[in-house]
Amino acid sequence: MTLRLSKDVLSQIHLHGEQAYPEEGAGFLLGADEAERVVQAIFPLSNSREDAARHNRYLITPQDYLKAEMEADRLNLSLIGVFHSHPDHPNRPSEFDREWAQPFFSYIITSVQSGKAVESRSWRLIEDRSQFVEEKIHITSPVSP
Amino acid sequence: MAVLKVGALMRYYINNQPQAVVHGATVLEALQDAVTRYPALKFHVFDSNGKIRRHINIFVNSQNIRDLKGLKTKINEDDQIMLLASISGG
Repeated sequence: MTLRLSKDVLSQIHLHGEQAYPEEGAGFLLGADEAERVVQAIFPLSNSREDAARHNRYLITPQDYLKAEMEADRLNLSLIGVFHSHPDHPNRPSEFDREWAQPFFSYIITSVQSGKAVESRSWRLIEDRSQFVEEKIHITSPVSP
Repeated sequence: MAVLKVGALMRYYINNQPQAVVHGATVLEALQDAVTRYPALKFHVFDSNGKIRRHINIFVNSQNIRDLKGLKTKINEDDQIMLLASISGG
């Protein structure tokens, strides 16, 4: 399994995580899931969890989910995953991530250390929901000037 | 007749289609029709007591049915029903 995305898209994901720090930031991955899975755009969102939980939890409201679906339709893309940040924690899925995740989606997790995004990894939940497996991230183009 | 739309997560359960035609006078009837036509969808929408699962959100023409009349919300021929799962993590 490989997830392809440009450096521009990855930079946008990192920026969102840094702007949300010290809280978790999240949003959707928009793209195509055909012969290979390609992220073509992101749909960043506000973390809708209550204030006290936003440092280690994120929530996307149904209304925001609907907006993202409509934006994907408008762009003739699909929602293919979710990205979120782990402030001052590794970019591995937590048990809470596993409990709430859905098979099919790609889950990009970015570790943000002291306000700086350091690395992203992508994961998919297997069908029986027992564990995540990592999918390789393939970077496809340089950052735009 | 109305159109049931599902997010990418659930397309697998309706034969990999983004939407399907459903029949019924209310949201509940339309969903019951949907799970009759697509049995694989049932487990993901209804719990073992026949209630809608808590993480499933239902919209009619972009309005959450919680703000309408819930499962008793009446639907018309041109209405669009959408099912979306809640998204959370940590």
